[in-house]
Amino acid sequence: MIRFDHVTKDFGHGEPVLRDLSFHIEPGELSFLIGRSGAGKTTLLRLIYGAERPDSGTIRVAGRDVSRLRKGSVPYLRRNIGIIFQDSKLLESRTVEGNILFALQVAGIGGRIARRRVGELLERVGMAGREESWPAELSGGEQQRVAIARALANEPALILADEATGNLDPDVSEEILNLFDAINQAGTTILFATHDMDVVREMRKRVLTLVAGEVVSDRPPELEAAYG
Amino acid sequence: MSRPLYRLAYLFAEGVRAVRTHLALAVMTGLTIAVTLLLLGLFGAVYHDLAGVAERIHDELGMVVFLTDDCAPAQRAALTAWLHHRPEVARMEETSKEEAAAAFASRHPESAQLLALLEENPLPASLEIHLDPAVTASAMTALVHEVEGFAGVDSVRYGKQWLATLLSLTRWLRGAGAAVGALLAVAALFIVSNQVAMSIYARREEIDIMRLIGATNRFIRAPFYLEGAITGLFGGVVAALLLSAAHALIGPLLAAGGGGLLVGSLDLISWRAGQVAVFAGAGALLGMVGCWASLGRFLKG
Ligand SMILES: Nc1ncnc2c1ncn2[C@@H]1O[C@H](COP(=O)(O)OP(=O)(O)O)[C@@H](O)[C@H]1O
Ligand SMILES: [Mg+2]
Repeated sequence: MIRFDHVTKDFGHGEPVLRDLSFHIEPGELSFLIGRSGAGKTTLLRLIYGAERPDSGTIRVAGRDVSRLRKGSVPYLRRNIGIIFQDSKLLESRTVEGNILFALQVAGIGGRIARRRVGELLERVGMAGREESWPAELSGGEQQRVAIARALANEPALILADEATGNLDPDVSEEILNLFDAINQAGTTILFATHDMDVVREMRKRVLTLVAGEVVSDRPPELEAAYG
Repeated sequence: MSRPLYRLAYLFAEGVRAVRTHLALAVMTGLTIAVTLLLLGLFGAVYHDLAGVAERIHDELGMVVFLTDDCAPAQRAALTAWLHHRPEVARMEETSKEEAAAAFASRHPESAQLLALLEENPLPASLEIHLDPAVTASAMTALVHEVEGFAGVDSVRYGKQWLATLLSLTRWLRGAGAAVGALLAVAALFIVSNQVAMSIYARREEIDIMRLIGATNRFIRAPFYLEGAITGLFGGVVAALLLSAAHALIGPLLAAGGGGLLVGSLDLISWRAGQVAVFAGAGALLGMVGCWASLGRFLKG
């Protein structure tokens, strides 16, 4: 699903952020990308969804070379990737339904079909019947659930999460992680970046550790379980 | 709804939403466009009118050469031969002293006896010269000076001296109109692009999210173009309405006061569906160009 081959990204001040990075993630995997703040996790994710370009090396997403993607093709790549951030990035001026409809509109889906789809998505993230709520009325965990529903709107094959539980209390964080797990069980590939080791310990999944722009360890789930 | 129809509905809803979120600003921008188009329209109408008047007068261009009573036949022959060879001269009519007197008598029968009382016919012989319509005012003036230099010529009358003034006035008006028009258009564009910039700023979060979700540039930009077009359309219609109101109010006044020139102008800009469409279209175009300028600066792909 994701393949990095000798990828280097250098913003031009000091050391490169990512250095000769190679790894790959199979379809259907749920993996964690850990590393301290500033290790390059966000940059790595941005490379995957075409917000940055590598200085060298190639990046393939679902077999497609995204490192040399034309600018005009980036939107179509993104419709196949759901992205979730630390802040839910919901629009305060729209209801829960409006926020998810917004994502469907982008793909040209509207009307009754879109409304029904919103209902299904909300049910999937445990927010059934909350269409008319406003983002400001929701707790942090609920906002994040809506953000996940929006990311799922166009049925992406891949979900990227960047510190998606960073603003949440530990118990809420666990609920959200379980939701990600359920989404993964249903077949969606997920790459979850975090600097929070606690998150990783609970999940017993594959963990890629990024230090100074290099993957210093790639522990498979079995090993992770043994550490548990 | 089908996909294209749905997209159109979405686009329209977003465009209207954008205008509504800062209605006051949109109205101000629309009114600026209205003033711009109004002034451009007035300039255009007055120019069109003056140019028309100049054109008509030009068609009747001519001059009359009055000869002295002691002008010898040879002198007269030399002058007419010279004039015949001038390219500016289209045709020429010669009038003798007697013909002039006869013409006077037939035109003013009540004064015919007055003329008969005089010992000597006071009317001069003359040459009426019709000029080629292509002759410029300055060429005409040059010709007049040359003719005045001939022996046997008393005076040259060309009652249309003011034509030169009129012609230079229309030229000046065209230049000034173009300059003022360009300035106004730039100002209007600046104001529209400013409105769109504010709109982009107000929606920057939405735009970021749209990009993340995979919206194409076209999809992101279309509502802004629509916002510019709606604002411009509004301005254009306001301008057309103001012009027609001006026509209804000032037209009769001017007609009564004998302001013939401007009545013509106002006729040109009277309320007609076609003209409203032109103004609305021009406004919408201004709005979209202003939007384009703003998107280029603030919404890089
Ligand atoms: N657009 C950019 N321009 C310059 N430097 C950047 C840019 N984006 C990230 N960086 C730098 O790259 C490094 C890694 O950043 P980031 O990928 O955000 O790390 P992480 O997400 O692991 O905290 C940081 O030192 C950051 O300052
Ligand atoms: Mg980060």
